[in-house]
Amino acid sequence: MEYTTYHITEYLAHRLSGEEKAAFEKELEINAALQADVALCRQLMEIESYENTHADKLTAFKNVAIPIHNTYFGTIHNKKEKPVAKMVTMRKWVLAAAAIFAIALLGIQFFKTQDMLSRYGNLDIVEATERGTDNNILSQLTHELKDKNYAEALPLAKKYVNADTSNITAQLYYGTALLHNKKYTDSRYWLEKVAATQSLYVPKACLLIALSYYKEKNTDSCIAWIKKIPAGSVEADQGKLLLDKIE
Amino acid sequence: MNTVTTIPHSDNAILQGLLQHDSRIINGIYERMARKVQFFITENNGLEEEAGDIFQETLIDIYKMADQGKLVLTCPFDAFFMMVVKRKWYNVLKSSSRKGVTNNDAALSVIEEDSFRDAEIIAENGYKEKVYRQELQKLSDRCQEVIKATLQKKPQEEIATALGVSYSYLRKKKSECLDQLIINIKKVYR
Repeated sequence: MEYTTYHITEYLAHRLSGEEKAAFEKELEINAALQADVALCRQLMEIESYENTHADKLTAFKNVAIPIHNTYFGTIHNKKEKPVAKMVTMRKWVLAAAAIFAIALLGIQFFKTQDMLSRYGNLDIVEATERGTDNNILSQLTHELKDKNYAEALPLAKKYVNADTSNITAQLYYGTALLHNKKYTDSRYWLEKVAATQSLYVPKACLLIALSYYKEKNTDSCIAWIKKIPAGSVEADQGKLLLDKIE
Repeated sequence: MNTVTTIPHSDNAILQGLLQHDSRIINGIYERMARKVQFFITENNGLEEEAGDIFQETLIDIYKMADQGKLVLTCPFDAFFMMVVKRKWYNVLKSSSRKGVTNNDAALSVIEEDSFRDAEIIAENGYKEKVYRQELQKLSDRCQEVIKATLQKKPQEEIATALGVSYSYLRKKKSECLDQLIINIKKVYR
């Protein structure tokens, strides 16, 4: 009998009958090409199996690692850009200076006017589609959150959290969407649940709650939540900047 | 995937930190290794952007292997990390037009020592996963959906219902799509 990939995956998933399995294994012992195909299919199944069972954990890891990655590799790129200046002509120097001046002006204006919530209240999202999930709501939700389309994200986050109200990721996403839609009290209801856990989202949840009080001009509560942000986290540094702004 | 069996090193604490998503541990890895990796890649015919990609892939692959309980360090973490980077970069050079242009022999002489077998396994598994993802993307959306669903160890009847197709259709489509995928992957491996 000639075995196909169908038989191989059925064998690896333990779905062959006793008789079929024995015949398959007999052929496997002597057929090197079949052995290679079985090894390849086994690896593909392991990849998909890991993705399906560990997707949330892996995403949580990436959400912590990616901002750090961007910091280090961004810094390296900036320092390496200097030597290019050798080739710039005098006229280009004038244009470049004008451009830098304009960008600096825009930058100053940006930081003057940019709201603290816009600066520190977003999530470093890895889109669910990147990790191969079949969950359409989560996929759309992460896309909207990543693009900061909080009005669009809100109904999706509500559906996501309603599907499992104990899901910490869903609580964080819904709380964040509520916050950016100016529903501060509702936002805190969900974010406080996150802050009460031992999860990796605790620093972010504390900062978001602080930002919600900041938006309501409730300075005391804002400061109290900044102080709850675990030390050593990126959010702790952002909390200090928020504190400077308040004081 | 291959299983890694080893004698523990004290730097396994770093692996534990990774598994706990400890930002201080992750930051420490970047602080110690980012410039080393960038130097190695750019000195070996690569770009800074590629150094970033290789760094990130390495970190994630090590995390995955540790998460599956298949990795125990027998050498310092930094040396191990660098070995995976070198092996991964060698794979990139091997599959690109830059093959043979760089001094990757020096890297290989270290990588191929038995003590760094684990690093090779991680790099190899990472490479195979990359090829799988890349070739899967080239198939139709329906094929991708069928393959992803059927490679799970769930009952096929359940999968057919979830995809809204008959069991016989799923079986036929699965064979057709998976056969094509396997052929494409084998072509890349050659």
